[in-house]
Amino acid sequence: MSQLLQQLRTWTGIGLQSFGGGQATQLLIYRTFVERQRLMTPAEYAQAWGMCQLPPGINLLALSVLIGWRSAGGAGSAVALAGLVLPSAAVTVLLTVAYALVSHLHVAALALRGVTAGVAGLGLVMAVRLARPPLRASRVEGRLSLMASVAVLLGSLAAQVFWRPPVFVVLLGAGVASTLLGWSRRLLSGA
Amino acid sequence: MPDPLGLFWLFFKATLLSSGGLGNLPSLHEDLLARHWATEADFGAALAVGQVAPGPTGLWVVSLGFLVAGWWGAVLAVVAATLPPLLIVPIELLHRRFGDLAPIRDFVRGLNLAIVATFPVVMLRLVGAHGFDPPTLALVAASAFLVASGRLPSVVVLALAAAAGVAIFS
Repeated sequence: MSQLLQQLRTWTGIGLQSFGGGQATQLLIYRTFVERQRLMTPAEYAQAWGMCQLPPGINLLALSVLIGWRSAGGAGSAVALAGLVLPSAAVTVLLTVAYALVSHLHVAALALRGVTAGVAGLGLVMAVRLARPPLRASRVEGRLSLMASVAVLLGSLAAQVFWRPPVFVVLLGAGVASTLLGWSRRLLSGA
Repeated sequence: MPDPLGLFWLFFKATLLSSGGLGNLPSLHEDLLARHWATEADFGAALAVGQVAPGPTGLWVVSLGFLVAGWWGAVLAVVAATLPPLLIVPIELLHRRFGDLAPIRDFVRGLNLAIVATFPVVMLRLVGAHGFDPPTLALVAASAFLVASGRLPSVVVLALAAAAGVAIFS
């Protein structure tokens, strides 16, 4: 019990101290569990982070669930997730309340217009950064895999420009296409 | 006020078919705007709050939930954001039993590439709410350049964009 409480404190601290987005949070998690508590080796951490790209949603939440699970089962997962999410979510709501209080002011509307342009710029950079890991991974697998990934990327773009289906159709279609292409590639190579 | 169950479903569905903290943006953007439950401004504000607040930036949906439906919206958004990552537990068990999970890996890869493809469209609509005037486009380009160069944290870039907004648009 006292160990769970301590883990709760550890995760709460990580959630509240990590300003500057996911990379800051990841660095704190690494320092805490690999360097300080020595709960996992650097290689185990890398493997865990790789696996956390698979479930949907925020990868860092999956990482907290996984670390909690490996150290103390379901209770460990619950404590890790609650510790990481709840305090950060509370601060997020408070900041939103503060914004809502001033949002009717003319100057706030002007600032928001600027911020929205900034967010759009950020989002474009994020898109390029998101594209890199899957393209790099498929390049390592060979030319066929890279061609498949590029086809899925261009196909998703084309679907949106020319056909305009609901977003979930594009996402699901790309996932299924990529799965089938990978399956037939492994079949062809006899692996 | 939107009905709670319908709102929860939109947030949950968007996160379930997503990858990473911002992967649910294209779906939420489409669904909430179509129902007039949120405005482009709500998205701009929520994404900015997500960058400024501590913890994972993916918690931007909590801010969006609050803007759409107040405290209940925030609570629903927290639950909808935390349930899908729990799938890491069955994935860990499958991995222990079967080793490599190539089909899941391939599916997520396709999902990621599709999210990349939808992002530019969402971003254009976000800024297009006020029309594509040259100052706005210049701000988008300048912010992208500053973030990409890696010299300034994204929070600082957004603060600069806010100041520039007040200076330019007034």
